[in-house]
Amino acid sequence: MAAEITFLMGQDPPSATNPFYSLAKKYFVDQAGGTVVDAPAAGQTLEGVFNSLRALTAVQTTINLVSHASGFGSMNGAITEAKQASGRTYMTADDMQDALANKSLTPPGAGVISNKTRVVIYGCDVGRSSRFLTMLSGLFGNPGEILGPRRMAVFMPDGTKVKYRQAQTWTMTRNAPLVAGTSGAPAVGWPNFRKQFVADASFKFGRFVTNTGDPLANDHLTAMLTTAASKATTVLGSTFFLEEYLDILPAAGQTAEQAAQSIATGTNGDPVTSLPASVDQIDDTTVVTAVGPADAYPTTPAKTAYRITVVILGQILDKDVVIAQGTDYQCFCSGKALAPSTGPKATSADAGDGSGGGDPLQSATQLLLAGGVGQADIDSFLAGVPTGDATEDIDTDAPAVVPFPGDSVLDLPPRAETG
Amino acid sequence: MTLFSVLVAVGSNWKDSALTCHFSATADGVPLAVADDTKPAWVIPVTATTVTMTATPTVPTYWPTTVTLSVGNTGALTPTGDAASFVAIQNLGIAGVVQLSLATVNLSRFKDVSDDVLALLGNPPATRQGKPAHVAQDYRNVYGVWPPPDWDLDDKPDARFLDLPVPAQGVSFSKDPLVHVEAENVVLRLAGVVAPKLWGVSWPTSLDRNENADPTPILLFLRQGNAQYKGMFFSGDGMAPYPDNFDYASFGLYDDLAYPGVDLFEWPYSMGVPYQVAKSGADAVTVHPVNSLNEDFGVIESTKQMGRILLELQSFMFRRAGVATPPAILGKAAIASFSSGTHILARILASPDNLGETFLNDTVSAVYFLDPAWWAVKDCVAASLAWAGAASRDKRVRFYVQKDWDDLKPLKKRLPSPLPKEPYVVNSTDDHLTLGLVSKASWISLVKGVKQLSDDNEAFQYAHFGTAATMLTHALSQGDLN
Repeated sequence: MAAEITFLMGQDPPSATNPFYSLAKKYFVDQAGGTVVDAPAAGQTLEGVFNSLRALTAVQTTINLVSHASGFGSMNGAITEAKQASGRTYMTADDMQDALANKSLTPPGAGVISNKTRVVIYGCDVGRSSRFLTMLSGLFGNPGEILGPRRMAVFMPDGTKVKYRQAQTWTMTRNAPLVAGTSGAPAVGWPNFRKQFVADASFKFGRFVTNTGDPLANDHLTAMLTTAASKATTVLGSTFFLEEYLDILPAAGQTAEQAAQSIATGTNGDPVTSLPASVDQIDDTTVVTAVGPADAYPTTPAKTAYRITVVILGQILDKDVVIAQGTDYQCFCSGKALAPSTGPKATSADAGDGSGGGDPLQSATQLLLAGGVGQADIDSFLAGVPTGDATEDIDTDAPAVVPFPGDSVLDLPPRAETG
Repeated sequence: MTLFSVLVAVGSNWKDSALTCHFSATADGVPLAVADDTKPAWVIPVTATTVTMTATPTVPTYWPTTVTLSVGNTGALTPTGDAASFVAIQNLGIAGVVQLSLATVNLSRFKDVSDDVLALLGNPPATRQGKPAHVAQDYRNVYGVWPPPDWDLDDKPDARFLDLPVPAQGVSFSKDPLVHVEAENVVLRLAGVVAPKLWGVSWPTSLDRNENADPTPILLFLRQGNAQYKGMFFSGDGMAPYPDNFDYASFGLYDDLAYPGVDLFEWPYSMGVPYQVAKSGADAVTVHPVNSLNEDFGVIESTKQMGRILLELQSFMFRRAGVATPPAILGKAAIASFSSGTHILARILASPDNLGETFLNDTVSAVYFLDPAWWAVKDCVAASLAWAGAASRDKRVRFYVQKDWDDLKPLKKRLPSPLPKEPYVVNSTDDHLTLGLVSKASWISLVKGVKQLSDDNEAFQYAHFGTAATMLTHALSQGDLN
């Protein structure tokens, strides 16, 4: 079994305010014994990852995929090089389902992937989507585990080192780019942008306070958002704003507008099945953002191109990330549950021990939810199990009986007297 | 192809009560791993075409069940094979993505041991009480072929049946080539009880087993008690313990189901219960528990247990016929008993533990007493008439005897008077009660052209078994199970 191998799914643009991939590379290089594979200039693809893995001709223990968050339940990088050549820069669960159905991507193979192999995603928050993890597991050829972060994650300088952290985030769709031109600031300026963002987010996320038991929950939510936004800019700090966008590409014979109006609704996670229990839990992990045709806006006056933009307000959670089934990561297991990932110096114990991820029923249930099956339908389905006790009232011994008063009759066929 | 298919399994009994089991499964012959085999959730390989699953109960009162499931293109599982009706599958999924299947395995307290018990018939003891015996030849003399090749109850053209309807006075018997036992005959084994472990079942094909079938009418036949045979039969002489030996299979069961290959008047010791059911025109399943030497009818002296077991039996027989939705209740039931078995029936009827119990009170519609032992008559009459109660309860009590015992007076008081000259079979005016009396002398006279009875003891035994082998037909013809 080989040591960890890490694939960077992209490269930082020269003007990046957040050197995500560079910091990630340093983080993994600093880890003992690991190999880091840079993305090609055009960006990595899943096909490229598989090709690299196949060339190793050894079963891998841990494969890390480092990807920027997209905000759309997707990961950086096209699935195939052909897709990349056609302009695709990310992969969604739908893309992967198509690839599986069409067998357009050959898995790395049993010589590389086994039921002991763990695939860990760093950075993007696809761990909120069971379906995404399941599809990715299928493309990999069903490794033991696929672990995806539930939250957007960042690599941050920490003295001479780099640390891996997750961020609490709140996502809002916007109908304009976050930054206007080269100003480095929104067109309305940061103060007004922050004010409007907090107002909109308070309204959107404020609908989910009903289970908190806090009579002033909306006020507390607004205060939390205001604090997070108060100093946030596009520069990565303890709080920040991050813009993600989806350019809508018309198919042949389609106008850009037609393409925009025909896109399928996407979400940044599975449907939420239980309301947050406290105000500080109200964020992207408990409130799903859906984007669809109504969120598309033209990027040119002639409406020759459309885009969907989301802006994410982030607040770094300065604690070690636990890479195991739990609050930080979601695990999809196709085989028997593996031990918890060693992960990058995970020391906190607020997450599960990995065993939860080994429950196929839980995985299936999450997938059904992710696929739009209602919780009520699943509950009804599982309620079909028998209840009661089949052993109740079964006696196995003869009851005490009144003795015969005297049996002088011998029921004896004449045959029985022979012998 | 479905990317992720999960099979969850649970155990249940016939009425969908939960039953904890250890589960194991294979996909195309390859074992599937599971973390907790009592709450299994297996991931089905995407290439699997067949899943075989075994549920082994954690208690001894149910038998393990193995079912086979075929995996469809969508990942949905479908029961196949002989045990298909012993598992219910619910599927919930998203095409091409995920399939969640819930298998509810029905475990039964019964299993089919027909072949095993048939094999016992071919293994008679070589000795009786330590002395050389020619048991197989004795049986060959009666049945022509021994051991029988199967449990089929072939036509018996030499069987003499009670002529119906019975006249006001006298009885007669005739051969009837139109009587056929068209039935599925099986021997079942009940799990985990001291007795009865074996149950003979003759299920007429005229009684449909389908989703719309009516609850099953049942004739439960209680043979004579076995305490009288200690030191003689059923144990010793190298025979295996209850119920796995020749005597239980033959004397304890086969002789009661079969009719002889010779004229019934030559050999009335085989009772042919299913033949009598067929002759009577009653639509009823014959159920014959095999009592043990030491515990006799064991758990079914409790009618609560008796009723549960018969419901279990009904469910098992429906499921083995491919019907997963057996009736939830039983049809009417009659309990027939013979010789000392009549006193066991009396005990059951009189037991305070059974008083007012639902099965005995509501489901059992009739009780039959076939030549009760002299010492049992009083108790049988008292217990049965008390159980029958007022005429409005519509319970039926029928006695068939070879002697006009004084203890029959409470019954005779409720019959038309005066009673005719023996032999006779007389009903009460509402047909709820019967007394049939055919004396030894009458039997000697009736059969003299076929069989000469050498002494009084032989005549007693002849009349004793002959009553059971023929007169049950009358009881069954009275419409008690309709």
